[in-house]
Amino acid sequence: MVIKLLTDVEVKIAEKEVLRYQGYPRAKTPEGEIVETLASEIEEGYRLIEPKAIYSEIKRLEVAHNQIILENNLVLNAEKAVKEWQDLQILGVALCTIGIELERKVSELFALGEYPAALMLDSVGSAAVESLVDHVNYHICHRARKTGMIVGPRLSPGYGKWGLQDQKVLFSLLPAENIGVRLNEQCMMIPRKSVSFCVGMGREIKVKKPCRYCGLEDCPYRTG
Amino acid sequence: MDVLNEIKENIIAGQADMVRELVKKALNEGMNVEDVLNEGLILAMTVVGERFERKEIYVPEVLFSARAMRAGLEILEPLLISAGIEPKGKAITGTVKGDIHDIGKNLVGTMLKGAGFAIIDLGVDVPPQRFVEGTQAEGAKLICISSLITTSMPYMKTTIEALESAGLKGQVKTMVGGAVVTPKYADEIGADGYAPNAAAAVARAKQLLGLD
Repeated sequence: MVIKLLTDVEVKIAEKEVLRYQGYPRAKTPEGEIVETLASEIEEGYRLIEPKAIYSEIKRLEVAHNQIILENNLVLNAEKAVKEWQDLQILGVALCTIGIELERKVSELFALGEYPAALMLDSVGSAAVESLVDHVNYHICHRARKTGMIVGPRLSPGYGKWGLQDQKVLFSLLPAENIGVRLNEQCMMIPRKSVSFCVGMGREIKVKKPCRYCGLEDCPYRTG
Repeated sequence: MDVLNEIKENIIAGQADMVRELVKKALNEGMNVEDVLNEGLILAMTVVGERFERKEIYVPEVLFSARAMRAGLEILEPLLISAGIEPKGKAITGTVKGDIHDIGKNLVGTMLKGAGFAIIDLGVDVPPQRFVEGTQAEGAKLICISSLITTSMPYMKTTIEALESAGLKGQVKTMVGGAVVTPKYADEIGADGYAPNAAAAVARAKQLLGLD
């Protein structure tokens, strides 16, 4: 099983994304202090984040009904994933985090009553981790293309009908402690600005809009 | 423009420094503390909440207003306490056991403070019994319970059951919210109310406590 540690991954924090996390519509342009706070918290975010990721490829697997069955009796109950990744040959499993310092600063700001800065910085963190995920996804696609594999859309436990409990399976496959991430009893990742995801790969995978969950608009592998 | 209106407009505009100065000015002019609170600060945040519900403003603007309101409230608070003026209501906020998300809970607390509530924040990962103990110790009348992950949602139900077992049903109102919570789920678990966001939580809280 291949396990890769990625510590030199690009993260780009987009202003529109930071505002989107606070419910700001794309068409609307903020003014005044919101613009200043946005700029200062993005700068603070870049200072605080410690982006890291680990990634593993599982080649010994079988798909049965709505499950992906892995070694050691590990099972992913992922009906949507099975449909999206038909003819799955390799399962890519990734865990990404921006570390804990940003969320500590968010808590400090809330305690000080600096509500706009607190929520802005929290949204910066969300935008940062999603950017990290996009770039790790690119890394996976780049590796896959070299071996003639097609990469399906990325999916994560806890979204849609994929139960959050399957996080335990992903965490048994990855040395999460190597990037300072753990899972609590309720399958919540700590630090909170962490994302796990899976991608299905295969030579015959046929999927519409495989890149629809990825935000990397200028990715050379982007289709649909 | 009279000073109360100026306070109100500057809270709506999110101008914390101006609000601070205007509240001091109002007090220096001999204005009644409770009037400054109700007609300046709380009225401003009511307008802010309504504008948010109408999608005229968004969360960042709401928070600048909340910050400005807090700036004014910090000056009034010692005077309110010494005059024996009680908050509009007392509410407990907390995120259920196993869940450490706190942003939504913090926003609800902020907006409820803006409406004149006293808030006791129990934090995150709060077991049902601590909600009970906090309610009993503080004499809270409203319990705001947050959950953002499906695996912790069941603890909302056990928290409400724990409040009932402690004989608090009928004495307190429970309000639930969070990304995974729906009005249907709120009904199923016996919550008194549900709010989809922090601004709506204020309106619902007032309804539940008969303050609207």
